[in-house]
Amino acid sequence: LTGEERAAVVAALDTSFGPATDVSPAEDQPLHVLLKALALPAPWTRLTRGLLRFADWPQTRPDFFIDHGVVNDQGQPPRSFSDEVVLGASWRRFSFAFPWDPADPDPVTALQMWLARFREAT
Amino acid sequence: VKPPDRPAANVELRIAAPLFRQIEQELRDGPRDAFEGERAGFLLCGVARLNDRTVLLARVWRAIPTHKRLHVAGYGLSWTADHNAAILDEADAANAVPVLVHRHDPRWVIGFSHLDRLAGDQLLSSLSRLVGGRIAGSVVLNDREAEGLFWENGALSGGLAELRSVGVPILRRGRAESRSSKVRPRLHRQTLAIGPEADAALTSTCIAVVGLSGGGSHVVQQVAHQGFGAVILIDDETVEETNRGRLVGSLHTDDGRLKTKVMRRLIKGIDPSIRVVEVPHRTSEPAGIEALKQADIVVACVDRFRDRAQISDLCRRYLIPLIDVGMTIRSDGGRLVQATGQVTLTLPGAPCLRCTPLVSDAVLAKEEREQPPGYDQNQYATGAPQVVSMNGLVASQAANLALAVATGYTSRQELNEGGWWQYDALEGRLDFTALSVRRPHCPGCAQDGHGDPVV
Repeated sequence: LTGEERAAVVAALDTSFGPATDVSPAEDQPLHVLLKALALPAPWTRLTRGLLRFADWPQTRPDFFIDHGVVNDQGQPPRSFSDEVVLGASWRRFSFAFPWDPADPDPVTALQMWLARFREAT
Repeated sequence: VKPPDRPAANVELRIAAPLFRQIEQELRDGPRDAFEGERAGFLLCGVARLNDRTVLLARVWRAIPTHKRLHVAGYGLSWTADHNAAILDEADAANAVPVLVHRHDPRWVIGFSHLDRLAGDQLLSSLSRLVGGRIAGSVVLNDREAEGLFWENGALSGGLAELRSVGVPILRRGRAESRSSKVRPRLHRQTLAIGPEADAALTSTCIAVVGLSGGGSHVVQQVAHQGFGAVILIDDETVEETNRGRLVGSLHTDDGRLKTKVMRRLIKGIDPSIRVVEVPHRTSEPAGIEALKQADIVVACVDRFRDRAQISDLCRRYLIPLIDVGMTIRSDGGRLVQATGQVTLTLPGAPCLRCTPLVSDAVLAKEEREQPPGYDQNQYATGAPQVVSMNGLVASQAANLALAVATGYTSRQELNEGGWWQYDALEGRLDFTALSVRRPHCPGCAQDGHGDPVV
C-alpha cells in the first residue's frame, strides 16, 4: 500500500466506525489501524477497541482483533478465540468464515463482515 | 548553587551490542571538527516500565554532525538549537524519547562536569517537557563506567542504574562500586571452569523459560544448577500422566498440579535463594507479556510457530536475547523416521527468529490453516511424539547458550550475530549455522526497541 492508499483506508474506517488511527510499526510494514471505540451488538460488551491488520491486502481480508474484556451477560467471551500478541499487546482473535473478493476490496465492508460474527450469541 | 542530590538509580539504558560498538567507536574516534572537541549524539529510545525500573531501549543513534557544532568558550561541545528541534521532531514521529550520550576520558572519575550540568540540565529538562509526558536523559560514559540523569515533565526524575550492551555476553556499566564479587561455594567446579566473574553475572541475571514440558523442564533444572539469580516460569498447563515421560522433576503425585509449581519445587530444591516467579499463563495473555519483559534472557520451548513468532517479537521490542528450542519427531508404525531438533540464538541488532526459515510467513500461514483461532479449545487436539533424552540434548545446548549470554564464557565471534544449531538424533550430529542475513522488511525486526505498546 502506498502512503496515500493507507491514508484512504484509515479515513474510510474513521468515517464509518469512529476514531481510527494508523498504528503501523514502520512504513514498510503492513497497515495496522486502531479503532478506539467500536460498537458490538448485544449480548456482547457494547464498546471495544478494534485492531485491523492488512497483512496481505487486498488478496486476503484484514485480520481483526478486539479487547480481552469483551464478554456476554454471563461473563463468557465469544467462542473459538485465540489470544495473540500484536504490536506488543495482547489482543483476542476469532475463527469466522466469510466470502472475500480481492477484486472488490473495501475495508469498511471487511470490518462489517467481521462484526457480523458478533451477531452470534456464543 | 548546591547541586541537587543524586536521584535514585532507577533507569536502565539498553543498547544492542552492534549499535553500542558503533556508538563507542564514533564517540572515541569519530570525525573531528575544527574545534577538536568532544563528540556526542542522541539515542532515540523506546520505553519499558518494569517492576523495579524504567528501561530505555535504544532504537536509533544520531551523532551530532560536524556542521551543526558551535564553538563556545569553555565547552568541549556545543551545537545549534535547530538540531535539537530536528531530534525532537524525529522522536515525536517515532514515539521515542531522546537520550544525549557523550564520552569522557577514562582517566577521569565518571560523572558529569559542572558545565555538563549547567547546559545539559536546562536542555534535557526542556526536552522532557516538549516530548509530552515522556522522558529525556543524558548519559556520560567511559571505557568501564557510565552515569546518567533523566527528566520527566521538566523535573529531574531518576539516575542511571545501568547501561547495558546486549550481546554475548550482556555487558553492564554503572558506577564501579555497585558491582558484586560474590562467589558461591556450590558453583565451585563451574567457577574453576569459567571464572569467578561468572558467578556475579549469573546472580544478577533473570532468565525466563516459556513452556515447561519436554524441553523447558530440562532447561529449568540446568539454569538452576548454573546459578541464575532469578527464574520466571511461564506455562498455563497442569501435569498430566502422559507428561511424566518427559517432564524432568515431575513426580507420580504431581498429576493435576500446575507445571509452574512443579518447576518451583525443582529450583528451590537445588537452591532456595533463587528467586522464582510463577506465571501460569500463556505469553499471549497480558500477564505473560508483563512477565516476559522483566527477563534478561528468554528461553522458549513452545510447540507452535505462532507462539514462537510472538515471543520473538516481544524479545525484539524489549531488546532481550532469545534462545528458541524445538524438536520434531516422526514415526512410522512405532519406528523413528525423523528426530531432529534446533536451538536458535537470536540477539538484538542481529537477525531475529522471523528472519529464519524456521518461522517464515509460509510456515505461519500453514499452521494458521491447520490450527485456526480456537484450536486450543478443541479437546481432540493431540500432542506430537517426544523422547525425553532427545529433548535433553537440545535443552542442554540452550542452557549452554544462556550461560554464554550471561557470562561470555565463549568468545566465539559468530555468536554476536546469533546462530542456529541443528540436531539430528538418528545421525547423532549437532551442526552450527551462523545467522548472518536479516530478512528485508522483517515484521519482527521492525519492532526493535519499541518497548511498551503505545496503543
